[in-house]
Amino acid sequence: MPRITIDGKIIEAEKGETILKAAERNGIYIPRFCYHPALKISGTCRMCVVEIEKFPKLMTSCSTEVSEGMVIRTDSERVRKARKQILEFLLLNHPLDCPICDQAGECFLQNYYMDWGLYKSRFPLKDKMKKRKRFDAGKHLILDNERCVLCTRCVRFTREITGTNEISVLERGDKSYIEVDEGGINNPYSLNIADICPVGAFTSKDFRFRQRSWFLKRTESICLGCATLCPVEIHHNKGKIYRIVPSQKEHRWLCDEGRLTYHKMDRELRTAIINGNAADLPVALKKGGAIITSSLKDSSVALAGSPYLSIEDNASLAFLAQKLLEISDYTFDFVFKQEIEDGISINSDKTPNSRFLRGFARKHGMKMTELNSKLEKGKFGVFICERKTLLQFFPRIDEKTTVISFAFEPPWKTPFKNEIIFPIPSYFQKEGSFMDFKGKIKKTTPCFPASSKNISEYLREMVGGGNKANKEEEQEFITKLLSEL
Amino acid sequence: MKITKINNRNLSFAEKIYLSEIVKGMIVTARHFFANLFHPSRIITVQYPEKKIPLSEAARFRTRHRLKKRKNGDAKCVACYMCQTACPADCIDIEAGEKEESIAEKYPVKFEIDLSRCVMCGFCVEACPEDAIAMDTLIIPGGAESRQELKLSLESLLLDSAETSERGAVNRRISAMSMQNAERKLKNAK
Ligand code: SF4
Ligand code: SF4
Ligand code: SF4
Ligand code: SF4
Repeated sequence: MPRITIDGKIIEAEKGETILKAAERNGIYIPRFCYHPALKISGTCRMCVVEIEKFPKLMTSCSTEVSEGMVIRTDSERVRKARKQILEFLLLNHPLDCPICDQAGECFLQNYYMDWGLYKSRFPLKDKMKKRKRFDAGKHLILDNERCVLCTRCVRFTREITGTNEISVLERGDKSYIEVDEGGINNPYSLNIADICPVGAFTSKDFRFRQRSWFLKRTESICLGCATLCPVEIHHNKGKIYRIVPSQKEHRWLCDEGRLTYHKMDRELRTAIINGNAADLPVALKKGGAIITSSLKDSSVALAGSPYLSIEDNASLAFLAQKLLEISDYTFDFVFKQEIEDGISINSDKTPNSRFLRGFARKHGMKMTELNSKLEKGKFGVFICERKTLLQFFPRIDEKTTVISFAFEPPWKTPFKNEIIFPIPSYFQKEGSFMDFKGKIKKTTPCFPASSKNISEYLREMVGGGNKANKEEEQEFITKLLSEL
Repeated sequence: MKITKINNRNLSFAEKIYLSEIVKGMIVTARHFFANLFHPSRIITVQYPEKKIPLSEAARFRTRHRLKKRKNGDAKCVACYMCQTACPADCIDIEAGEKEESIAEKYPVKFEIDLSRCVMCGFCVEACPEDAIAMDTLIIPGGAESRQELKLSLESLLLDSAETSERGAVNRRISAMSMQNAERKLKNAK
């Protein structure tokens, strides 16, 4: 354990650790462009230089390992001067684009200039090197070569992480620029490049010009795009989500598909739908209630849980099936192969909660195939299910059965003869626990309040069981289940 | 600090019974009434807001906003949201769009200033990095029949902006008359 001194502070560093990391762990921030914790070290930008006693030259802290007794200064006059000069160098040919640049407000170059630059430009505007501006660089990206500081983060990302090698640096000196292969960057993780680019060279087409970064409120949550449940940060303002980026606390490369899942909020369902036509909630509740009550008489009500719903919601469905509806034709049996096939993030299981249901289904309900074959034969008057699950797993329900479904996601067109759809809040609007493919419990955090009710509330209103299945008991059931996991 | 106490003069007996004072007041009122009745052209007040006294060209007030134009007629504004960020009354509402063939790729699709909330502080003008917004129209806003009328749209903000320079020019004032004429034109067009 080498003992080093940074800015007069004695620090126990780990063996083989770089100065930059040791400093950062102890709350000393060293500016950087090319260093990224999840990529290999390249040492090209020189922004992170520090002064080390007995070293004649300034050293790049991102690539210098600590050794016993090192005395390091990150705030000396020499370091400050070096930073200023490096900034001046980087900004020589930089365009004056901040007002129209999406990166403004979270731009390394802008921030560092305010911290360490603050010089007056000595370079005439007309002499600036012109490069290619604003062009299509793939399905989700736009590239502006003039804004690039040639940190090679993007190049290393496509070499080391995705292995697709679409980006490279061409030419030399002030003529060097980033080149994108013909066909553009179309790997499934391309939007990470817009995140890791420290300036506004790579920008996301999806986020482009929609909001300024300083207006955004940030909520830590998880992505429900697949069973990996990546930790994310949701950026929203005034009840609207603008983008999803990797969490600050725990870094994971998010896939493009998962990042764009928030678009379903733009098509949020606000009314009930009866057989494809919008209907008022009370009307739908009355109709649904009548059908359930009559079907309960000859016990022809079936219900299914959903791998798209949280642990709490599935548990309350199971509780209501047993205690409120008192039926036995229900299933929680959804089993998938779970694996990250590309070794990065995307899971082969596209449902967020099937790992939990795997264990839950052993104690509750029947086999899915069994229920499905009964449904196809038309044994039920009513079938109750979350809608995405319904469309995916129960597509061939007999015509006689009325389907009561709960949806937060389009399409709203129904393939069934009789269907009543109720709007439920998505997990951007409410809290929910999920179990990821490794068996870890993760929680979503609501960004703004829900505009519709939960499934259990609808079911209670429709069946009106009074004190048969009281809420405290249900809450107890859920809490007990969660504590056992 | 020195404190000066002012004692009001005691009223005389004639004043105390008010009658003579009432008559005096009536005489003043009647004099103005008849003067205005027979010489209406000499009335010094105007029927605001139907009538307004044009401000002198030399006036240096902050008045209704306008957006400046480029030579090709586009707005100079690049929808950077700096004015919206600086505005303490939260009354600017911008939506940005992308343009292929223009000097700047970003431009405002929507630019609304809610004058019913604006406090005329001029921060928006100070904040603008493009010198695209100015408060030099010499029109004092106010006196509208509905709130909607006080919402300036992009269209009305861009009205007849005589100053079309590419850059420079700190809030140079345009002719108040030309601005008012343009406003009338817009009203008639509606
Ligand atoms: S990359 Fe940063 S410094 Fe350059 S134009 Fe964009 S915000 Fe400004
Ligand atoms: S495009 Fe961005 S990430 Fe790539 S080298 Fe340039 S500045 Fe770095
Ligand atoms: S003058 Fe002040 S209050 Fe009015 S729009 Fe500008 S910044 Fe906002
Ligand atoms: S600050 Fe200027 S350029 Fe930016 S949005 Fe406002 S008026 Fe437009």
